[in-house]
Amino acid sequence: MTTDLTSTSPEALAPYGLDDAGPNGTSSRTSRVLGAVVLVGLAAVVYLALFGTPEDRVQGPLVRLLYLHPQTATTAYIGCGLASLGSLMYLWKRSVWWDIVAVSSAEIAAVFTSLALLTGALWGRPAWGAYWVWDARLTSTAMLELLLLGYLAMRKLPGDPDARSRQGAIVGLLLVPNVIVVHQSVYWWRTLHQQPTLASTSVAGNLSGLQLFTMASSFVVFLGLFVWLAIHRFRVGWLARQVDELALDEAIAARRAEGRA
Amino acid sequence: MEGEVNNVAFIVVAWGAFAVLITGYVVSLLVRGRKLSAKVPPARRRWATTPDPGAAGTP
Repeated sequence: MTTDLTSTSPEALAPYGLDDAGPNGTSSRTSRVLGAVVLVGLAAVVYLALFGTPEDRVQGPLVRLLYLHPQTATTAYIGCGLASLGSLMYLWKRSVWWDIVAVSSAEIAAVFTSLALLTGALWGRPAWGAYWVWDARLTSTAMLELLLLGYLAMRKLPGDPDARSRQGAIVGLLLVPNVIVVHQSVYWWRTLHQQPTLASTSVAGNLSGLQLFTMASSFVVFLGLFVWLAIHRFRVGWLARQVDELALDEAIAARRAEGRA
Repeated sequence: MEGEVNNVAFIVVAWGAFAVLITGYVVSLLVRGRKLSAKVPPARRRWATTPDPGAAGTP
């Protein structure tokens, strides 16, 4: 006996324990719990960053942007790393799963790279006197954003899905070398942008306990945010693939029926 | 004093932009997910409990 699982009526799905599945989008119990934890974490970070931590002796209140800007950049790096890994694994295994991992991570990386550029500009104006300078760090980050946008645009081109995935994977491999250039730019060239704050023991040693705690916990919360976004974006990608496959199955069935007639 | 007030404006705009962009992206993801999942049977969603776990595919 076969059961039509395409029906989403509770009666049809009840024998499989799926009666609560419904059109509930991309959430699951795990993602809801993680989302709640991330939301609480973000609220705590925002409170500590804006009100709980003291001002900096040199930067004054501008230090409050340092609980946001480096975290957005680091999250973008993680997204790019995962996109390159997904691309590599796709080229190796030809697995749809890894292809969706790559495109999902790249999209999130593009969002966080935009945020890094925006928050950096808003820190730069009062600190340096300019929203933008053609500094190696800023320019290489803008190039990374362009690469990500180009990759995402390429993934939307019409054509053979496998060829598109393969070409996308080749571009996706370029993300990690680009991230290395962005990160190392402050060491390789003379830049206005400072070197990583926490990597400098003299600076990290001068941070107060609460500042250090806020800085470290904000990185953890942003990582949680990235994981939550990646889970949901992956599921959107998976659903889009399923919709395409269902449409293809229907088209094949219609042609077969036509042939029989 | 005036410079400090201006600095606060940059801080508020930066955190505000972060909140707006991330909220917008989260909403767009959830809406896209809902629209697409209405077209896909639960058995073909990896994260839903399915009668045949192998049907959803593996990496």
